[in-house]
Amino acid sequence: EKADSQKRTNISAEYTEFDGKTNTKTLKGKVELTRGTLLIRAENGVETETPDGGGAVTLSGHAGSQVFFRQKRDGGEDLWIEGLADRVEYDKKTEVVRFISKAQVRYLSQQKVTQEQNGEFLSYDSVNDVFTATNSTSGKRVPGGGRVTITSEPKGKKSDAKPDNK
Amino acid sequence: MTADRIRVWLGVALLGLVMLGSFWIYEVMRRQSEDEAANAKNRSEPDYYVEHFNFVRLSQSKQTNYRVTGEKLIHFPLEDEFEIIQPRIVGIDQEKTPMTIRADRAIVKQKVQEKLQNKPEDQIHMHGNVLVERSKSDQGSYLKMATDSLILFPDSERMRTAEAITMTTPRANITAIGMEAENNRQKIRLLSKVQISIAPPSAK
Repeated sequence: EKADSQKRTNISAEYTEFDGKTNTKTLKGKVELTRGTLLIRAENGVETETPDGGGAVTLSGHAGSQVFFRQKRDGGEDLWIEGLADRVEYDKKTEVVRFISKAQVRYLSQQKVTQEQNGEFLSYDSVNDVFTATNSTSGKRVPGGGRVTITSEPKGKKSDAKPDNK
Repeated sequence: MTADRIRVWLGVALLGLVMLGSFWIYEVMRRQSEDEAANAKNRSEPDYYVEHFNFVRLSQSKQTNYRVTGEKLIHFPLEDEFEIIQPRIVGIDQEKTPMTIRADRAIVKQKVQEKLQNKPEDQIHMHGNVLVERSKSDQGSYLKMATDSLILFPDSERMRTAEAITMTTPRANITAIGMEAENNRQKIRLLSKVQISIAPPSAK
C-alpha cells in the first residue's frame, strides 16, 4: 500500500548490534518489522541505512523457519498480499520485496486467496504493484531450472464479486 | 589398667580441646574478614573532599583521556575510590567527537582488573539519571542514551549497563534492556528486548 511508505518503521528483536562505521544493524531473535500495514517476521535481520533514508533490510529464518510477509494492497476493499520464503530482501528506497528460495506469495481478497505463486524467486514492487517470478534464486530465468506455478482462483459470479477498479 | 584408660582418655580430651580451639580461631578469622567486607560497603571514612573541581586523566600518550567535572569529589582512602556528586564526564579522543556523560553520582574505581586476562583499568560507575550524548560528526549522527546506571571503562573506551536503556538518534528511538558499547569501534550491542522505531524516510 502506497500510504505505508510515509509511516514509521518499527522493528523489535531479542538482540541488536549497531555498527556506526558501516551504519548497519544486525538483529537476532523473533525479529519483527512493521511499517503501516506492512508486517515482516523473521529470526535474523540485517538492516543497512543510507543517509538519504534508503538502504535494505535482509531477513532470514533459522533452522527451517521461514520469513513471513504481509501487506495490504491498494485498489480495493480488504486486498492483502502474504508471502513466505527462506530469505526476504526489502529495499527501503524502491520498496521492492524479494522472496528468495522456496518462496510462496498469495493474493487475498476478503480473506479468500485469489492468486498464489510458488517459485525460487518472487519479487513484489509494492509501490507499482508489479509482481515478477522466476525459477532461480538469482532472479534470472534458468531454462529447465524448475517451474513457477501461478494459480488464480476463478472470480465469483458477477453478483457477489465486486468489480476490481484497477 | 584403669590408669592406662585414664591416660588414653586424657589424650583424647586434649586432642578434642586442640581441635575445638583451632575451630574457634578459624571462626573468629572468618567473622573478622566478613566484617571487613561489610564495612567496605559503607566504606571507610573519607579523608578529603574537593568542591567544584575539574579532574583531568591523561592517557599514556599524555593526551587528555577524559575530563571529569562535578560539584563534589570525596576520596575514600581504604578503597582508594572517589565518589563524585553531579559528575559530568567528557571522554575526549583526539580524532573523535567528545562524548558527554552526566549522572547524579559516580564512583571512580582506579586500576581494577575485572578478568585475569584484561589489564587493570579505571572503572567509573555512574548512578541515577545517566545521560550520554554524542554530538553529530562525520563518524556518526547525534546520539543520546538514557539509563539508570552505567559503567564506563575510559581506558578502553567501553561502556556497559544491564539496565533498561533508551537511545535517540535523529531518525530513530530505541529501547532495550542491557547494552554494551565500544566507542572506538563505534559498536553498540543491545542485549535484550529491543524496540526500534524509525521515522519515515525524508519525503520522496
